[in-house]
Formats: sequence, C-alpha cells, structure tokens
Amino acid sequence: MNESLKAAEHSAKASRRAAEQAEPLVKAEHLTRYFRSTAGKVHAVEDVSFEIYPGETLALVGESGCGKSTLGRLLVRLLEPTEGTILMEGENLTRLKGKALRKKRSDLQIIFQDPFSSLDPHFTVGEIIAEPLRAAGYKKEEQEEAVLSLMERVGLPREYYYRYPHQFSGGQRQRIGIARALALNPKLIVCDEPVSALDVSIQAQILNLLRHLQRESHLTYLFISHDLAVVRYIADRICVMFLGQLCEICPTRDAYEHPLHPYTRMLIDSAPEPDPDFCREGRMLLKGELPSPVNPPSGCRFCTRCPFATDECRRVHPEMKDYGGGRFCACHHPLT
Amino acid sequence: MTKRRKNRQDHLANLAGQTSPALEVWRRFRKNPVSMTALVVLVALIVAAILAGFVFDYATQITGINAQERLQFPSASHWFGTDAYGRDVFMRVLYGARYSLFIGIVTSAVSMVFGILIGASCAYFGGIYDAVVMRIVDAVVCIPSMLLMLALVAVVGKGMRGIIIALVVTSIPGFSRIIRSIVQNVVNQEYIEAAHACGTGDAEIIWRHILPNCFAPILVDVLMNVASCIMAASSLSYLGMGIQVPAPEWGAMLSDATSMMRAYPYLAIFPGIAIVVTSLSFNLIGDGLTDALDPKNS
Amino acid sequence: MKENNLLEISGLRTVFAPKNGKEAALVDGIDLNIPKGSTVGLVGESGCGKSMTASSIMRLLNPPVSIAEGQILFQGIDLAKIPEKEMRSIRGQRISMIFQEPMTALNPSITVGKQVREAILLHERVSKRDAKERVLKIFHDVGIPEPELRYKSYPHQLPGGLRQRICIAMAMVLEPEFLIADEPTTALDVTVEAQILALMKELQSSHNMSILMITHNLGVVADICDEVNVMYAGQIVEHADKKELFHHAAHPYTKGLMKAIPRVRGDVEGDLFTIQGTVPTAGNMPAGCRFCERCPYATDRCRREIPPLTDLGNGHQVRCFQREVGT
Repeated sequence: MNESLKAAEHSAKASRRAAEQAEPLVKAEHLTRYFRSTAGKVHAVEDVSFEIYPGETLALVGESGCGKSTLGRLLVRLLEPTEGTILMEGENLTRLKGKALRKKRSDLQIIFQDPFSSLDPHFTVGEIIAEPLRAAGYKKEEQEEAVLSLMERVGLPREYYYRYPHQFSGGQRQRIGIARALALNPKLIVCDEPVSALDVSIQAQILNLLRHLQRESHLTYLFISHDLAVVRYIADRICVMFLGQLCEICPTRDAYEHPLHPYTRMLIDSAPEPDPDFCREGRMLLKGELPSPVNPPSGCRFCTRCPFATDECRRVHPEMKDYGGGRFCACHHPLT
Repeated sequence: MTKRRKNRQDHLANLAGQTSPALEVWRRFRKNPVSMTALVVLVALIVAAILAGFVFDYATQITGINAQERLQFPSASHWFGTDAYGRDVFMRVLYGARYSLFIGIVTSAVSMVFGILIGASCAYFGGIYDAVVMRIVDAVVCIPSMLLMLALVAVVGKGMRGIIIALVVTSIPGFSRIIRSIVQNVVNQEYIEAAHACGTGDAEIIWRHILPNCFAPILVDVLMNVASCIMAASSLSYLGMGIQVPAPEWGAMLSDATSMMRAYPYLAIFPGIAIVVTSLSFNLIGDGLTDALDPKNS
Repeated sequence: MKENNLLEISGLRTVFAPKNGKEAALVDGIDLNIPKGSTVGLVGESGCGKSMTASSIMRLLNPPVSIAEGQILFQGIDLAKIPEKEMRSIRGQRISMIFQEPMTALNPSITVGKQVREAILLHERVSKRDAKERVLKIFHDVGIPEPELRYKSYPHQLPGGLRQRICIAMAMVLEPEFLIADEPTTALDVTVEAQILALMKELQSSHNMSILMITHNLGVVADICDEVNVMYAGQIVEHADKKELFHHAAHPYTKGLMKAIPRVRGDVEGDLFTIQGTVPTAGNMPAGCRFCERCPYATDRCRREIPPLTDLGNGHQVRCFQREVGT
C-alpha cells in the first residue's frame, strides 16, 4: 500500500514538473536523421522536438520501423543526427566529438533489447559491468568494488562475477546489461525495448527493478517500447511516433483515456486485452500497412491510413500544438 | 582492506566453477573422436619433423648415395624400403614433413596477417575503400590459382622462396574475403554498439572485442588453408617448379618415383600417403573446431 | 474417440535423445483435445514445449528429437504411428500450420502466388489455370489488396502483415479441417496483430475449422480462444474454458502469470507481481511438481510427487495438490 502511494506521488510529481515547464534535462530540437539505401533516402527521423525532465520516464511508442530506435540512438550519440540539436542541461551534445564525446558518455547510457547479442561472449560478467568504468579510467580495485555493489543493486549474486554470459538466462543477462548502464551514474538512460525479448514472468521482474532503481537514484529514462501495457505501467509521459515524426506527447493517463491524435487511439485500441469480458466491439482499428519511409506521404504522414483525413491533411503538414496540461498533438482534426 | 581480501577469496572460490567460452569449445572438441585422432597424428608429425632435423644427418642419411641397398622393398630394416640411390624412404618421408609443414604453416600465417589487415579494414571502414579493395580481390580470385602460382614461380624463381611467395599471393584474396565477412558479422553485433556507448575507444574495441570474437572462425579458416597449401606446394614440386631433388620434399619424391611406379609402387605410395594424411589432419581438425564452436552442439 | 473431437492427444511424450547423452523430455505426457469448430489455446513461456507439441502433431521433428510415447488421434488416424508417406498427404491438406516468422516460412526466390499455387498442385489434380484462380480467390478472402498484383510479388517485397496473410492463404487454400497457428502474431505490430486475429476468427467461422492457437500472449488468448491449456515445463498444468480460466484460475503458475502482466486498460499501482526464479531446464526437472521451486505454496509433498491433473468440474482441470489454497 505504502509502495503504491509512493508510486502515485511519483507520477504526480512528474506530471507537475512537466506542467510547470521545469528545467528539462534533455531538449531535442528538430532532430532529423536520414539513411541512404538502395531504394533511396530513408526518412527515419524527421524534425522531432521534445523534452525529457529529470527523474521522469518518457516512453516512446510506435510500430516497428517508425524510427523510435533510431531516435533513441541519436540521443545517446550512437548515431549522428543529419540535422538538429540535442541539449543536455544547456550543453550542446551534437557538437561533441572524439575524447570530449567519450567523456560525456558517462551521462548517456543505453539498455539494449537483445540480452544475447548485447553482451560480449568472451567477457566475464565482472568485465562486462566494468567496461564503462575502465573506459572512464577507474583503477582495478575501484572497478571491482563498484562492480560488486552494482551487482547487488540489480540483484545478481556476487558469485556470478567470474561467470560468462552464456551461462545465464535472458532475464539475468538483462540485469547484467542494466548494471553496465548504471555503472557511471548516467543522467539519461535510453531503454530500447528492454523487456520485449523476455518471458512474461521475467518481464515483471525487470520492470520492477527498473522502477526501484529509478526511485533509489533519481534516474531519467527514455523508454522505447511497442508494448502499450508495459508503457502504461512504467511511463510518466508518452511520445507517440509515426513514420519518423511525433504525433502526440502527453501524460500517460491522458494518452490512454483521452487520446488527441487518431493514431494514438488506434494504437491503443488494437492492443490485445487479457480479459475475456472486454468488449472488442467499437474499437478503432487500423487498416492496411505502414507506408514506406522512403516515400512518405506529403502533408500529414498518417493521412493515408486515417479515417478522418481531409484534403487539408493531404496537403498541409500539421504543426505540434499545445492543448494545455502538458498535452501536445500534431493533427488538423484532433479527437475531443 | 579485510573486506577486499574477503572478496578476493570469494572470487578464487568461484574460479573452480568457471567455464570460459574457450574451455567450452575445447570440451566439445575433445568429445569428437575423429578430430582428436587427427590432432594426435598432427602433433606426432610435428614432433617427428622437429626431431628429424637433429637425429638424421642430411648429407649422408637423407641425400647420400648408398649403391648396395638400392631399390629394396619395405622390410624390418627399411620400413618404407629404399629408393634408386639406396636412401631409406621412411627417413626421407619423415624428414620431408619439415618442408610441407613449414611451407603450409608459414604461408598460411603470413597470408592470414595480410588477410586480416585487408579484410578487417574493409569491414571496419566500409565505403569506397571497401568497394575498391574488394573489386581488386575479386579480380585476383578470377585467375586460376595454379596458373598464377606457376607464373609467380617463373618470375621469382624455383625453390622454397618461390613457393612461399606464390602461395602467399594466391591465398591472400580468399582470406581477405572470408575475414571481411567474419569481421563484418562481429562489428554488427550489439555488444560493439554497447562498447561505443560505454565510451571505449576505437583501438580498444578492435583489440578487446572484435579480434577475440573473430579469432576462432579465422583459425578454422587458417587450418583449412594450411591443408590446401601443403597440397599446392607438393603439386608445384611435382611439376618441378618447387623444392628440387634430392631434397626429400613429398611432391618431389612422387615426381621422382613416377618412372618406376610399376616395378616399385611403394616409392610413390608412401610420400602420397604422407601428403594425404597431413592435409587431411588439418582439414579434420578444422571441421571439428567448426562443430565445437557452434554453441548449438553443446 | 469422442464424437465431437477432431483431434485427441493422449500421453504424448516427445523426447530429445542424443546418441551419447541424457534423454530429456520436451513434451512430457500431455493430453489435449481439440473439439470440432473451436479454437483451443496452448499458452506458456518459451521452452515450455508448446511449439514442440505442434511439431509433434505435424510430425515435423528432426532427430535426435522424436515421439517416444502417446497417441495423436486425428479422425481415427493415429498420426504418431502412420508412415511418413501417409502423413505427407495429411500435412498441408487436412492439417496445416502457420508460423511466427512469415519471412522464413516462405521461399524468398519464388513469387508468393506461385508458392500458394504449388501447394494446390502438390495435393490436387487441377490445371495450372484453375489453381491460379483459386489462389486469387483465397488472396481476396484473406484480405490481400490487389490480388493480381500481389500474385507476382516476392516475399521480401511485402510488409510483414501481408506476408503473414500470404502464409494464412497458403494454409487455408486446401480448406483444411485443422489449423495450427504457432505464435502467428508475435512478430507483428499490435495494429497488424489485431487485423490478423480478426481475420482468423472470420475464417474459422466461415470454414468451420478447428484452430490450435499457440501463444505466450494472454491477450491473444482472451481475444480468440474458446478453451485454454496452460503449459509449464513440458506438462499441461491447467485446462479450462476461457472465461473459467481468466476468472477462476486455479494453478499458482496461471494465477502468477495473470498478475504479472501490466494492463493497457487500467492502472497497476505499485510493483507488478513476480514469479520468482526461472523455468527449470529439460535435463534438470524437479522430482515432484515442476513448478514447486517457484511456487509460494509448495509443500514437501509437492517436491516429492508429481501432482495428477484433477478435475474441478465443468472440464476445469488443474495439476496441483494445493488447489484449495488461495482460491
């Protein structure tokens, strides 16, 4: 009970912060990233702006291929943006190069989706978790001490120190990845689908762990996921992404209960519900397939699949508008 | 301080339960009887080749002429018989292992170094550099390798130096291609991205992450290449373009025996068996290692 | 064999038996009935043996995996015993299957239309033109836009959802009585998943076939299944009607799963419920109940004996000694 009170308080705090427009931790402005492919220019991320506030979990949701992973990698500078800037506490990260960038990496960490390919099979658990510490120039003994305390924090018994990743299950491996990301007390952790490769019973363990760690150490998460149930549970605010652009940014509960953008509504309506009595009639379901990011539709990107699309939608690209209460939406005909 | 010492002790206690990927591979390899036999044969051959240099006298026992004992069939005193000059074929075959193993291992090692430089740089940098270098490699691969080797020997000259240069040049393109794809596979793994995210520098990523993970598949390839180099070296010598008689190179011995094959078949059979056994051992070890490296076989 | 059952599995044991190693049961004595015209769910986490059950029914097992014991009665034919040749005429024609990854289930170098046509020509003596007509019709039935155009597409030219529709078309074109769907929507986005599930429901009622739905997603089960079997470590631990299962889950594992998932419609306050520990591996099963090491109610008896599948009435069966506890 005490636990749930704390959680409620926590999310209330986050939405208040958002509403008051407190100093953001990260400010992304007009982020754009194109890829070259044989088919042409892929518009992976185009003109995306948003803010992440300290201590919150901002979820980034969308279908596969919508550019959410690319956006996450842009934020931690694993990919170079084609255009746009990322400001962290006022400092422009996009200008950093070489050694300065490597130093800044202690503030930017990432937890990967695949707990199998994200750990080097030739490293012991201790070496994997120590890698960021080593890169930051910690001494051997300091590394060891820090790794053991990190292992305790993520719930790994210390006797795993000299074992190799292949001896562990997906859930344990994900804990190793989380410990590695925490090693340097980063200001922002991008969680790229951290539980989607895990079984249901393990998924709950990892989600709880991420929340406990956040409360303990005031961590800030950008939580990338396609699972709307997981997002509802963990996120304070959510960004909905479609074909490289953001359609809606709002506090989590608003997105699920009064979505503004038709795409948000359809995404949530399509999610399966583990309840046999849930009424599946009257849901708004999407038809057809995702348009290609090589030749995105002009105007609103969603217009080819939107039941409310008008001529205006096909011609004019909708701007992100403020609807109050921390809700933003880019749509000519928002749902009310 | 005492706490740290206790940690250390904990660690040591747990070392007993440690199974590194390398140990696992060895455990799986050991279970394969065929590859283990090949490994034993090869080790014996290498030991024999090294000892042969000390035990036998090259001038008298290996190449010296002994007219009384010429062309004797295999017997207790001459296990593989004697040749037209009365030399003991068993001693010559054993001594010949020195040439074949030396050529096979040295050429493979040298071409591996070049292959790693070319293949890894192509995979890591990519782009136009990769495209240009790989097209050159493709062009060289198109030339039939025997023809290329003969041409190179003709330019450089017969003998050990000529063989090694010819084999190295013809092996490099194939190596570069394979190593490029091995490295590319590792570079695309998420743990490389994770290492970048940790702030690890490029040189360290190559040294600590990429090379160790490429090592095993490259080793398999090198072993297979040793086998084909041994065959190619013997072929060149057989054609008279490699090691020259009276040196007991297996290919040269075969070439020598051709004219007398009907009356004295053992002269051709034993060097022939030696070539087959040696290159087969390398191939079988390579096969066993490939299986052992596949984690699905655990 | 009961009149209204299409398929009856009894005591099926599928084992992994390497030449020089320990035998391990992947499917350990399961009983499963598929009534005619209904959708039966088989739910469980990865490695619990649910896909292996499907492969056993289809006889798509490769050595050293094989069926060691048990009966798979399909309309009076024991699929576990019949020769491979006879099985081949049943596979694809009377029982067909769709897979998780439509890209790997399709041949990348043949156009999708041709692949579906080949499936017809393999089993029936019809002209190529008639076969093509039928392919176009089934493409239309499974909701593929512009069937004529898509007929000539290669798998890689289609998005994931359409590829899965092609696979469904291929499975449905010979109008099988029984369809096995192995995680058919796991690789798809939620928006496409909803479309595919709707399509499967529609096809089932129009063709009156039976479906075995293998999934780890309880949301999918709630949407499309009539009956549910929960599998854990090679055994079925609970079987019930869908509503009964979701409202009165009796096995601690089923209850744990239900509580462990966050919901899209409704908030979870505080921590999610977790099931401690991990699934035991095939070689290291506990002597008693497979779930005893993770179960909060486990007693000494649970650790010693394997509980039998007992009936709670209304066809609700559960494999647990403690079924009274915590209900």
